[in-house]
Amino acid sequence: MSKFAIEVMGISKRYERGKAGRIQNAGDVLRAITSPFRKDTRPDSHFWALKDVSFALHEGEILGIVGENGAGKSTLLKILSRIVAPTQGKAIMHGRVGALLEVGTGFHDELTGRENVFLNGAILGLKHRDITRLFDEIVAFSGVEAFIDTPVKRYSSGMRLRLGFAVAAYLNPEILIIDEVLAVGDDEFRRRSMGKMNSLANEGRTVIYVSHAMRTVQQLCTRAIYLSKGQILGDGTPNEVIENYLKPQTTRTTSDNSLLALARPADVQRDAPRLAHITVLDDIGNPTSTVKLGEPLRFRVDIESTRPVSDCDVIIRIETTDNIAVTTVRSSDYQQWYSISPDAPLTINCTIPKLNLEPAEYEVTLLIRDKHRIICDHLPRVHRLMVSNVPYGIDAPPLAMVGVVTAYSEWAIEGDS
Amino acid sequence: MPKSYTTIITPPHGWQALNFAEVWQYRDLLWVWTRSQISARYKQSVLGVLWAVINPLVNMIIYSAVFSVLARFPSNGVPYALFLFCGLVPWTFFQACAIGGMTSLTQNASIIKKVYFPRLILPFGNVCVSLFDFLFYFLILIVFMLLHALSTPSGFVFGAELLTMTAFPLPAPFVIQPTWGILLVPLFMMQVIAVGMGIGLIFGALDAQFRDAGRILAVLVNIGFWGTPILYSTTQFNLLDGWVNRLNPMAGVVEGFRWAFLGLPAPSPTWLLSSLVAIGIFLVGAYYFKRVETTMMDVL
Repeated sequence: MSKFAIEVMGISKRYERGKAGRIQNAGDVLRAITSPFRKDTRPDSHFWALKDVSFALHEGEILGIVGENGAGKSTLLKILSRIVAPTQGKAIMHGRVGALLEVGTGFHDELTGRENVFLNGAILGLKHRDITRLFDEIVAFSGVEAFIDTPVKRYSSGMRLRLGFAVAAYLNPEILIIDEVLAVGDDEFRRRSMGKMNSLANEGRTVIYVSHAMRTVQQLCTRAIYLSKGQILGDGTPNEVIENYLKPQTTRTTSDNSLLALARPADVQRDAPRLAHITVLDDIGNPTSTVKLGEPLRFRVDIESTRPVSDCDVIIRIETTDNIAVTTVRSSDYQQWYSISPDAPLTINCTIPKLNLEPAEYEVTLLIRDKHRIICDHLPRVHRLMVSNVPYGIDAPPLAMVGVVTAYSEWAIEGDS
Repeated sequence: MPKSYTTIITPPHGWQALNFAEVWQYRDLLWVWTRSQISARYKQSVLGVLWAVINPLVNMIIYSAVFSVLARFPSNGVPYALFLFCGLVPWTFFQACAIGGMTSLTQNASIIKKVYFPRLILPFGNVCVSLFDFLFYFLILIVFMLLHALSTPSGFVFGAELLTMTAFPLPAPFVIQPTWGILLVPLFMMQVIAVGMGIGLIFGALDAQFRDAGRILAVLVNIGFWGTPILYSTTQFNLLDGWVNRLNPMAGVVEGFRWAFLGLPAPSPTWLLSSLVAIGIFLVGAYYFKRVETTMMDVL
């Protein structure tokens, strides 16, 4: 545990804004040709995807990197796997790096699965006989035996993913970098690949894993880093960091929770009542984005309208991040019909006293319908909701295995009184 | 990859980024990559590797027909088909190095964006694939030379001239006398690789940013073909007091091939000038490529 596997020192990455595909005249061409030799000094011409990121990882650690979209997670992984170069800073990788970035890895479409395994092995710097030795294991893990001599272009995305993971994990890299790929795999594959990552770490290898699924990070990782806008805001145990990760979301959703400016689906009426705000409340009525397991779920919804409407009903649906609807509640089921006029906006409170959602991230969808049951406004997956308080610790199985809700249950040995 | 497998990742700067040693460390990959490129290319084709032969053969027959039979181009006393082929072989190789080198980057963008290896492996691999094709051309050349040698002195009916539609009575039977220049052929090949890769690297880097570069290169290669003494000899056209031929690295190579295989006069020492040009093109290409390599990923 004492030796460092990865040392990252002040890594920054600057991207040129609008550089791609913006070449329209001779001047642009000249700029493009000479750009490697010039420094673009216009302040708005670039942005920093990563800013002064530093951390060090010991051998055997499993690091989870969490953060919003665009926080710089993928950029960091690309730098560590040397696909893009940093603009500033330095990173030292002690060992061979196997990487699985997005789905598919470095597969050559025309080549067969077998040829691609050898190609990727060579890319990792392995000798032919070493790859031969590991080949059977790779194929067995990926489960594509029957298609190993078929060109990869005919593989399904699941097969590519499984073979890609097997290649990255079994070609014995000292450092394994995995970018949010398990989310696409099926449950069986997810379980096996997490097991593989765990056993790699136990052998003293180092794993970096990026995920939006907090729960996976909690289960799998020994450490987590929270990236936001290219900077590290949290570094510690997964539980600590995920707590950290939720805090800014609380403030963000409460300070700016207006829904009016958001884009609506195309089928939504233009001139109709609008869902203006949604707030999740804690048990004493303060805005929050985190609810503790077993606590009541309380929503406050503001509705505005530019014309008088009557007999509307409001629908709230809760879904998991992998698109499973947990429940849908309708005000009309409880004989609640609302009338809204331009000078009298409405605030509705909806409480679900006991839902017992498993600790995870959920998404809330809002709908409002008029008296003809026509959808007036629809905001799919507009609000994030966290259920916290991990009851089982990091060994907890994934949601898909235990279910979405946790139920109260009574246990007894028959005959005892 | 070094033995200890420690990698230090830093921002690139200048010549330090030009790391040919790394390509050498990845030579296993170069080998696997070349093999898989070759196998992928012929995977879904019936004639397979024969295609490597068909193109240059057809070229030779057409050019021989047009320029020897119709236009009656002189060929310094050598059967025109052989004269032509000695120019066509290095040129085809050059063309494969340059155009293939350029497209090797954009074509493999999906791999480049997912996994690291020295990007120079791609154009180098392309050179290796082109060398594989070159072996076939080379074989054809040898076969034609043998046919010619067999047919000329003892009057075999079955001769190269007949095969290649140049069965016109030559003023005097020409005896092919390969010279010791053959030993220099690897050197000529190096020169072709240097020019071809250099140009491929420059245009590959440009092509990643704007796709016009590919079209421009196709035009330039076409101009180069007619500007190089392939269909004609340097004694026939000598543009700008011969400076075009002296500076054109490919002209030196073509002359070298004719000297080595056919026994035509050796290229003048100014050939070294064209070698310098070749080295220059290669260094410029490699340097520019390295400068762009790191930002290329952002736009590819």
